[in-house]
Amino acid sequence: MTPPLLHRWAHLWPRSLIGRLGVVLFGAVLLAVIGNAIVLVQAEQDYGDETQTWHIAEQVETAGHVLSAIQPERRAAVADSLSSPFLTFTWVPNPAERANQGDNPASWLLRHEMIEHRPALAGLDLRLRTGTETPSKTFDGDLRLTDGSILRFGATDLPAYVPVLYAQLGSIALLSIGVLLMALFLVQTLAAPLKMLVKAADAVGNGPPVFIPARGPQEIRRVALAFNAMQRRIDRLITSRTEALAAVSHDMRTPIGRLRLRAGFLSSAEERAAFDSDLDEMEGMVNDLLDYLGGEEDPERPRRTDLPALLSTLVDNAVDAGHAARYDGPDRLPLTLRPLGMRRAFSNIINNAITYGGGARVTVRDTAKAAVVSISDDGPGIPEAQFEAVFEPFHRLEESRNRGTGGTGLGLTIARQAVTREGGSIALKNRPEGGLTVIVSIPKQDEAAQKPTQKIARHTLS
Amino acid sequence: MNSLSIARILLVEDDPAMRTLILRVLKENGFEATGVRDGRDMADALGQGSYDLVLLDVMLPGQSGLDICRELRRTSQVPIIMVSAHGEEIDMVLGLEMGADDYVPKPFRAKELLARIRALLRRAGHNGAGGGNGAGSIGSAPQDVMVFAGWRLDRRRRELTDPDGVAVDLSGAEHDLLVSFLENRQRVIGRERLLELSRARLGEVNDRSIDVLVSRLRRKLGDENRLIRTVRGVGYIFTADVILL
Repeated sequence: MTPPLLHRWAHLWPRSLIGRLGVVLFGAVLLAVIGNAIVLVQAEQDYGDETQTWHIAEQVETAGHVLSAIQPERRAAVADSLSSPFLTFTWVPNPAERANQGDNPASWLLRHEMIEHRPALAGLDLRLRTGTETPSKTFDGDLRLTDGSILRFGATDLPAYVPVLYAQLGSIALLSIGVLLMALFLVQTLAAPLKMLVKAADAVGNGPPVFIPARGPQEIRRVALAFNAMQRRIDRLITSRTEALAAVSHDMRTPIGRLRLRAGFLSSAEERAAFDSDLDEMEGMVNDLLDYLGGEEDPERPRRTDLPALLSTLVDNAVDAGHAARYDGPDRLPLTLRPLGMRRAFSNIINNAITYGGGARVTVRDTAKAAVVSISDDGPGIPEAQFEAVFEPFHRLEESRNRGTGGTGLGLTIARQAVTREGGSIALKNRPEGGLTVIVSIPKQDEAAQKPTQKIARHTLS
Repeated sequence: MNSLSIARILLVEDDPAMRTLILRVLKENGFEATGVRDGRDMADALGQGSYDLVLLDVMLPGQSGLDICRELRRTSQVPIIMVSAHGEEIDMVLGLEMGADDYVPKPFRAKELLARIRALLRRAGHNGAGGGNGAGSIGSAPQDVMVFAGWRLDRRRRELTDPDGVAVDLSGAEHDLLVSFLENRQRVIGRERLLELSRARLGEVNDRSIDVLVSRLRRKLGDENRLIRTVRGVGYIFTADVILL
């Protein structure tokens, strides 16, 4: 759940997993760098201030010892020479001018730190006076030397310690970017199995099951295994249903065969014809079902076939049966295809044209890349919204075309199966002057490969 | 066999109802028919009497119809028609390669079965009695590839290929008409004779439909060859030489 406040930024939130992980990683690395810098700079600062204090404590102690050890008349000059721009020393012979220890916490803290580092300073009665800020960068103080005289010292604006870390910011940024890129690359490899899963899921239902290798992190491996198992279950389910349907269809032929013969014994010719027509319909359905169910693994081999001859036979048969049908096109057009499958396909399309459109006009156009077969009728056509649906198995256009013609709704499905197997395509078109045209395009792509063997065949036969 | 005598047919079919029905069809149409249920009973029946034709179902319990056909063909020249429920062309080819002479896919109409039986009996009788001229002999090794002008007709597979090896689809009637032409090549055939020769398959043919059929066949053979010529007022003549393979 995105908090309401984030809604206006929601469009910046990447859609892909890699994008999101990238943003998260970038945020995490940035936070880590900033957090580390704060903590480390503080620690370094503290350490730097402490070393500065220790350094001063050492210098003060040394100066105290040196001044105690030499003649009083030389002390003022030596104190002066011990001074540095940051720390000045002065010798004061009269102890009456001595100031008290500063009473603020900063003064006490500084005294404590110096004595902790050089305990000898405690014996020299160290007194310090500072401002209120810690660490103290400006202070003065004094020591009592062994003869009772005073060594006064003072510091003004000691240099602030600059953490080394700041100088390394460039390297740190570079390192962070490197880590980020490396992490993104690893994320990419994590996401790769997911992409494969998407591809496999897309392919489900459009052919044989697609199994994906169980690779990548454990979770994704589990998803892959579960996905494969699901595919196997679905495949088994479909196979068993298909087999059952095919077995029933197949067995239906036996009783249909008996009925055919029994119908022959009927005395009334009218009855006989009615029986035959019903049986034709039943047989057609059974054959359609078996064609459709067996369509995926049709064992037929492609061979050089004359397309006009195949179409003419279908058209002539329709004419002989008393239907309006015509063929216009070349007398000869050899193509490599599966003749039984294509005959079934064209037979279904031509029968549709005759049943629903009152007749079939078949034309063939020979183009450079394909043979284009058009089957036109003068029927009502099909609403364009239904163009895809009519190829779906068991789909029938009841509303516009219901004339009690029966059928299984498999005709065009089988036709498309067969045409697709030849690498071709099938399309529908409503003609402006009325009527439907089915356009089947069969590619000639393997023609060139076929030619050498053709030449040899011609030589041996003629 | 004398074509005037009553032909005796042996039916091998395992489905009792189907067997009864086919026997009834055969008997009502003037044949003498006996039914058996499998290959063993068929062998017994063939041992006891002689038959003019065997109608053999492909799907049989135990030994399949195809195996029975092959074995039967080894010892006998009896005409065989295979019957199958598959209705697939592949089975047809297989059956014909096993030595069957014709093929009827189930489910069939009585009329269709009778036409095939009569046609085969005529072919067998014609060759058997008259010695024939070698065309379409029954029960012998496949001799049914006919080559003419580079074209090739495989009668068992009912397959026509052109000089380039391209398969050219023929309707059943066109196939039978072409066979009639090839068997009577370089002779003028009258329309009535063609009608008679092709009648086995063509239910209701007349002079007019013979002309239509010839023009369709011409178109498929490519008219420029002038393989089939019209003899005005008489009929047709098939001009090319035919080689039997």
